[in-house]
Amino acid sequence: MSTNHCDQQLLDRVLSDQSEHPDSADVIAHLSHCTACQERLDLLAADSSWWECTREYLSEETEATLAGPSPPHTLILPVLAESTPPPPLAIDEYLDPPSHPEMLGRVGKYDVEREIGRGGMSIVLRGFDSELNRPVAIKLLAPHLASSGIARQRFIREARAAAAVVHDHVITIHGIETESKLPAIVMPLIAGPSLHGHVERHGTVDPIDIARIGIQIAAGLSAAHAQGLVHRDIKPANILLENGLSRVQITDFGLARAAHDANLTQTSVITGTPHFMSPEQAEGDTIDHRSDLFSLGSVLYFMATGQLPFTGTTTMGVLRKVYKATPTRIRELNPLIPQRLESVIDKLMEKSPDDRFETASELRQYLSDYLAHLQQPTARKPPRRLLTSAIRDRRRKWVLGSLAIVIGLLAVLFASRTGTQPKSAVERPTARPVIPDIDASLPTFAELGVVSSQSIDQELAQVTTEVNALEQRPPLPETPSNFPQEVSQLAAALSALEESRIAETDSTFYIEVQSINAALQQLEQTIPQPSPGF
Amino acid sequence: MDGAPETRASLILRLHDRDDLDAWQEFSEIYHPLVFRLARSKGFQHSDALDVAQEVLLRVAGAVERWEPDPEKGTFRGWLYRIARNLMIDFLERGRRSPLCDADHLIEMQVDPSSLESRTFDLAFQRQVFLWAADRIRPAFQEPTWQAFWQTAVVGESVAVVAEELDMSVGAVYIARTRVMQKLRTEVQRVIQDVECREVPA
Repeated sequence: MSTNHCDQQLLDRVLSDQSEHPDSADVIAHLSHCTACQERLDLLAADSSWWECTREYLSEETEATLAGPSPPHTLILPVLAESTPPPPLAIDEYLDPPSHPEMLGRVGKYDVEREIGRGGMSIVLRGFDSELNRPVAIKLLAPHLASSGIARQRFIREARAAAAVVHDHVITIHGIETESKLPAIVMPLIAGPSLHGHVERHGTVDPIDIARIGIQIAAGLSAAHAQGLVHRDIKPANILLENGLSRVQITDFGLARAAHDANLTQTSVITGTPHFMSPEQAEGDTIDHRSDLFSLGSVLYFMATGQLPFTGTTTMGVLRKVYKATPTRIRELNPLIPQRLESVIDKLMEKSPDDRFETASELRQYLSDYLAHLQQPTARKPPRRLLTSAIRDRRRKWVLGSLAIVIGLLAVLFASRTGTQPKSAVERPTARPVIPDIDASLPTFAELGVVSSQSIDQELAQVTTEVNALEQRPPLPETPSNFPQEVSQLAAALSALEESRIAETDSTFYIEVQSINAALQQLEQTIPQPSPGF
Repeated sequence: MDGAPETRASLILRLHDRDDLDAWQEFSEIYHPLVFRLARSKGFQHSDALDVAQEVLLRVAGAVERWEPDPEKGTFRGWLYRIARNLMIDFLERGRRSPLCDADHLIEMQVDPSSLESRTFDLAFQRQVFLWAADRIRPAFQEPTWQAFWQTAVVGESVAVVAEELDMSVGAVYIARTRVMQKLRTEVQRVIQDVECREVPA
């Protein structure tokens, strides 16, 4: 048997020799029918794991699971390791030659003094209108966008549409330059900072100023929306301030749309900050004027808290949060913001456009009423309370939470009663506990009749005082061990109730106050009297 | 060796010599497609994935002198993987992003060597070394010899059928395919010591 097989050395030689060997004809003949030698030869070349790997890694099927074919060959040489940054964009390339040597250049009839800002889609220059002898701001469409004909046309069209909006709170457009190398919009030069700069420097804005600025932006948007123009890029950097916070103007109408078009034809880059986009923008859905309302909500949020509502380390991360996440509660970040103002912002930032204010003018009206109330709390009634999904969520949580507390209290009560009345507990071990008639003790709607909000407030104040007193109370050896926990749950329920007040009708609110009060009474009964004789 | 095939330190150490062009060529031939495919699998578009791969390799090239084989610090490939992940995230950050990409997904990429992601990358690396080695050795063989190997060892045809197709004897097919295999193994082993074959997770 084995004498018929090729010897090891022969197989080795056949394998290593690339040229034909004198013996090879014999070996080949033998290998053709000797499976043992076939296997030995295979093994000699590589053990079975190699054959397996070869099949696995070189087969076409694997290609599909590993994201496709190889890239074109690239040789990385160490000399390439020092990469050089791209040279800065020289702006004068895009200007017409200057008429005065001390000027940077010219755009149409305007002399350009210097560059004052640069954004994702535009470059802002300080220019001078020599005919009217006044400084102007010239906004040039960024060169990478201007190379797209569609973007150019859109930029010009949107600028014309924006120019048609004449309103105190929308920046005036002096002119549009279409013949210059880069299309440009000419506007008054506003000396003040943007809202973004203001908040960065001075921090959060007072409620009254938030309302004031909100009214102005809403009024400006309302005028634009009336002409079918959606801003698409409402953000603090696009709100310009004059005379401190007393007057604001919206700038950059329609620019976002031009940039959007250009990107459709070039690359899929989202220009500008994503932090103030609406969920429908983040999703790439079609948008209407209510998208601006969401962005305005984010701007007010930024003023109220000094923070961006949605943050993330990447653009996509931010956009995903815009779409899905609920921002941190405003009053958690800044307790000085009144509930009603918080609700306004929450309502603007509803994920579904249908849940927001319907129009900018509805918002403006609401904020105006609210501002009047803030300035003259006694003379002017506050506007109706808003019901937002945030409030609905909190209410739902509160109802569930208070239900749990009532059940918990019943258990405590039962435990304490059975503890003091061992006899009955022994006699009726499986009997249901004596249910304290919390429900029966609550007034029904009919019994309530008309409850004045003053009496509700009184009862609420009384309950709050008692709960606070319980919280302050030093622990007694006789008190049940879970007593402090029960008290703090009650306190939490109480503060949740206070928060939800603006969303409640007086009657339901009163019932809730009463139910907490009832729970409180029950809890107090579990405290043994610290008399020495007990 | 705990399973993960490590790049032979010698190749990486040769990169310390900036004049060793052969080493640099091997390095870029193996790692550029590897990172490219990683980026593609993360949703980067073709041209963006090329940029990412280029930049990862440049980054590695710039820092490779500081890399020393040290089991404590983890593998060279682990290091490269980390650089690739961070660069892809940076890349999206700078706004040159592709719409198929999701940066959160990248942030969640596990750099822990035992994670599924790292394992997949290990397998992708092994595959890349096989592809690279196969490319390199192919010119050394006559076409029928190569086909004898490819059809039987890779495509999975039976030796008898392939012998018939190529008009060779069964014994000749065995000799041909084992010669190719031996050379392939030698070439792969210049880069990685041991191979292990696992299903590539989908």
